[in-house]
Amino acid sequence: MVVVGSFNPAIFHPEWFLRQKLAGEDDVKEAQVNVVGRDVTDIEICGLKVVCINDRFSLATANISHAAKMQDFLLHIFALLPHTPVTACGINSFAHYLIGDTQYWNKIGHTLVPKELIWNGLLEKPGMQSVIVKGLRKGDFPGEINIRVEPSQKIQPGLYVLSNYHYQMADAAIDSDTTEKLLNFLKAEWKSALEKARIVADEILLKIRPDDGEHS
Amino acid sequence: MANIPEISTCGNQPRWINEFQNDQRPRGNAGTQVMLRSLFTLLIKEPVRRDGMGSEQESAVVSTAAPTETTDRITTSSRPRSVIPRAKRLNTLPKGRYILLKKYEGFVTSRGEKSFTARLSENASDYPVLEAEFDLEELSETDRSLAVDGAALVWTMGYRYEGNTRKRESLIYLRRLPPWKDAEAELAKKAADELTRDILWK
Repeated sequence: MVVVGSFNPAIFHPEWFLRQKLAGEDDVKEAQVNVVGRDVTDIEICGLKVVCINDRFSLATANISHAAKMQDFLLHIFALLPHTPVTACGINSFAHYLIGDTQYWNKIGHTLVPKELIWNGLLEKPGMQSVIVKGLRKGDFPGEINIRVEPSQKIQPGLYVLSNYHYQMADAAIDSDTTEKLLNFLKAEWKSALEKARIVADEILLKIRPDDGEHS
Repeated sequence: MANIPEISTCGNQPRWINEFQNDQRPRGNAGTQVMLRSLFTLLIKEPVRRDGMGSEQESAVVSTAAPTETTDRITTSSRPRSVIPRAKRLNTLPKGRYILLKKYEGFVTSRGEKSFTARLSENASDYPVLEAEFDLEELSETDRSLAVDGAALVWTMGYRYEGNTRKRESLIYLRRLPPWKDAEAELAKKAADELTRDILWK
């Protein structure tokens, strides 16, 4: 989760999370503090990574089982800091998928980015490195959904899919309810934002099938 | 010779010249997207330590650079003693790998002395729902007091990686949701009333 606005990084110390009852004493003892200061905070607490600089706050985990905890943290943090000016936020979820067969992996790349029309004539062995597709999100929190598909750097041959639910708010200087909007956005869109990367990957793997003899 | 990165000098304050790499630069309004591999380098200005200077000039101290030829040269000269700043790469993502096998969400329906029961489902539309009884010992000592009637919980099962070791993990998390606001409670009550009214009892 990335929130763009105006922040005071120094407050995000493990002790603050303890005082606000977001973390227990054992969590604070086990917290990893890389830096807490006026300009930057970088800590890990309760399996979550908190990074804050003056205009950006991010909370992340590599463990999807902590997603609910992450949402609770965000809801508490911004309920406790209701006057924080927020200009935009984004819920990002990503996943890596193992594609068992290199031929099938290449087929996915060639289908998402066909090479015949343009690239084969311009480049030797053109390969897909990244595809970003942007779409609109309607409803109470209109905004953008950005999907990025890339070859996985973690597992090979693999597929990396990232979804970004971007929500642009009105000018924080003239809109005093930005934190409230952020909280409502988090409550309304959290689940579907977390599911999006998986749904996209499912669709890719369902629509692009391995050729006979290949294993998915 | 030590590899000394480029430093610009503004007065006596050494500063990092820090630029996003092309693939890390926020593009358009994609400012909330995770940067490529979620890495961004941050300019961290370390303090210039001058004799007799108070703490008012100091910003976040992250680390002290190892002695280099430059620091040696500075300290042995008559110029004020300085600490060479060091760029710190911030990684917004923690390391780790996890494969989710199952995830249930639900709430506690009853609590006994040694166990509690919860109603769980994978999706909100699932019927019938799952009822499971858990030992309170499954929870950490600090979480046991949270297992009360109505408490929301998430039960996940998956494989967690520690290096090359894969561990099967079952995790029960009792949610710490912020308390309901009056307006939210009112809205929920209204929705429940409408739902009740629309049920055609026979």
